[in-house]
Amino acid sequence: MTPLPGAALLVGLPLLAAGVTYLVRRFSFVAALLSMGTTGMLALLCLYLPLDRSAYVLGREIAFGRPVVVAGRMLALTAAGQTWLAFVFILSTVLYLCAWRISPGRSFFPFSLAMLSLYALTVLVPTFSWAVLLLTISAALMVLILQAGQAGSIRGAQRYLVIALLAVPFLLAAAWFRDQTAFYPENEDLVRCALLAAGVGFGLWLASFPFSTWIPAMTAEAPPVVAAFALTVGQTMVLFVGLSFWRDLPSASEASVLSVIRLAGLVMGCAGGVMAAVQHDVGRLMGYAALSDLGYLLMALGLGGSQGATLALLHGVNRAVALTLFAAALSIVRQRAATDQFSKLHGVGRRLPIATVGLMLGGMALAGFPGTAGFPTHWAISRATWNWVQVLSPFAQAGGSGEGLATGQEWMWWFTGFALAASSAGIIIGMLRGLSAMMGSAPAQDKRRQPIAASLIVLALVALTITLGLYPQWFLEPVQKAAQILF
Amino acid sequence: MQNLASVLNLLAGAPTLFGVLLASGTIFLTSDWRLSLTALLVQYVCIGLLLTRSIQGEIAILKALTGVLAVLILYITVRRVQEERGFLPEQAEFPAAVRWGVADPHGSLGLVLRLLASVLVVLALVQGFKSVHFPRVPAHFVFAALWMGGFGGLGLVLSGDPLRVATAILTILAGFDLLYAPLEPSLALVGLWSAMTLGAALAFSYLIVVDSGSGSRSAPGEEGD
Repeated sequence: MTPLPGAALLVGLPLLAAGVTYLVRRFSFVAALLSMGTTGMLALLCLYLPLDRSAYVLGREIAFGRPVVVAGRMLALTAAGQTWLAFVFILSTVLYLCAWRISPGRSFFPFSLAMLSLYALTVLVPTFSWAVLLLTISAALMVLILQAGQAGSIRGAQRYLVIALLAVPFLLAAAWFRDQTAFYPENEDLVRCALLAAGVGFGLWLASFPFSTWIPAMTAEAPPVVAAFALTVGQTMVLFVGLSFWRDLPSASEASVLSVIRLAGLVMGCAGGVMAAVQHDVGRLMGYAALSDLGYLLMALGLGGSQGATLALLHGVNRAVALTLFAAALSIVRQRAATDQFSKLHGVGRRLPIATVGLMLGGMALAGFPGTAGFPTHWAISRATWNWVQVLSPFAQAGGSGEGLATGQEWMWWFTGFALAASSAGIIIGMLRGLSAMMGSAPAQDKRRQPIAASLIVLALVALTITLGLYPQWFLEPVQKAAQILF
Repeated sequence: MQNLASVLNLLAGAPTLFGVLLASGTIFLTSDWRLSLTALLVQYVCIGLLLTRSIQGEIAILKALTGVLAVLILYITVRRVQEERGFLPEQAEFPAAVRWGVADPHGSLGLVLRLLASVLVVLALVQGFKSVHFPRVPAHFVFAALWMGGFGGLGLVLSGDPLRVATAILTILAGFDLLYAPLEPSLALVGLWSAMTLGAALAFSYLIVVDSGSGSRSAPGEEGD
């Protein structure tokens, strides 16, 4: 019997499961179990099956790395893609577990599985333009789960869709310009055009400043687990496509390009932090905290090379854990208190202590607070960024070590210091304001007791967040491997 | 077959280009959803005709058909939403297509302001067109694409209504396709582009339905946000 190609499994299995879960979507336990089973199994296959030879799984021969030809193009799984998909499937399994007890809408399971199938296809396709269009099609599906059938404001879902669609022309143009550089290597304008178009396109997709308005709008309106799916799984895929593009573009690692990325990250971190400090509801606070944290990821990428990529990927893992914890806890609060506005959360902290602890710890991890998952990478990225601007400090220039530098750039030193402090302090202030409201002295009588199963999930995520804060090296090895393959 | 080709060739010139420009202008200027969707339909057909000179005829027809399907999806959605809400166009004080006021009762920009904004876009376009050069793409395609991008962008900035946003973003994408299709003739890419256009139309129609259930007073396409 011919061995089953891995590509068929990765694309076909989630699609099949999507169909079945759509039929049983009213039974959340069955739908969640099916979804978790599918993604859990695919994660295990990605983690353990070799790419260079076939292996037997449940008596069936599977050639995981065997390419499949579709429309004249070869779909093949690379080592980097395998690691990436393993992470995406593990993350989805955890989110499905959360969604089992805290319903984010019946459509979440089938449509997110269909999206995972498209994500797998995105990793398999060899062409950047195909990947861009596949991710955009998945964004159209995402709208259905972001809105989740709720009548009310459609601002978040609509902005998400518009931004996803607006980025397409820029990214396809970037791909075309990049391809032209192979024919006209001496033409530097082509590289510049490709970089500019890619910068705008990925800036839109990654919610880089000033295209970031969709994140808080989305987290304020969408079910928290779905928002976490978009911010972790969705943005992980954008990052994969972005890194693949970056790797193949000549001059992408030039110091000026890296500086722009780092600066964009700093502005995002600062803007997210400042805005988080003044929010009046937990959903928006989550959005701005996620935005600020995404800025750190860009700062790490701006360090360049495999070292920067390793730090960025490690930060991506920690960020995913923190966001999942935040989303799970927020889901409980929204479900039990029917709101997430600070002014209406008085007494929730006493009635839902586990969810409150989860919320606080998730927020603190996004702020990079010591002892949480976010701290090690926040610290490393902050140190690296701080070192980068040290030569621009007034003290260094006065001491002579800044000789040769363009004058008038001292503002960068001041701005970096302010941005790094504001990004973390802003989130912490916002979280403390939320905590103060939740611990208010007038406990509302209509709040129901905390759900046991959902609270256990939050507790497990709390434990993981603290453990990752204490032992950050846990994921270092696979992340280093992925970064080395990518660069 | 040869007759059809010669007819298409005859049509795919200045009249079609003028049709594209007029259609995208109408999409932005009108407040009437029927006129807006008809203009979008005309725009897709004209783009298909224009593209017959640069790419294979079958692919150009496929692109036009995709656009027609997207318009159909939006039309059926708005029609159903209106039927469910019992909205009758005759009840409107003025015909929706010619609201002159600075702002109509639902907060949208009136025709006068939209006209002024259009003049600004046209001036910027005429000025900017001189400095834009795309290799292997006819100059009139570039002009049409920039025109559509300008009006689409304006529509996107000035409205939050899902139908208006849908027509604006579809105009931008169709404009880009005019530039991109002659450069990348891959069949798989054409298929994916079509799937994306239809996916976007479906997602917007879903948002139109949800928005209509949220209690906004206006009819779809006539501003409620």
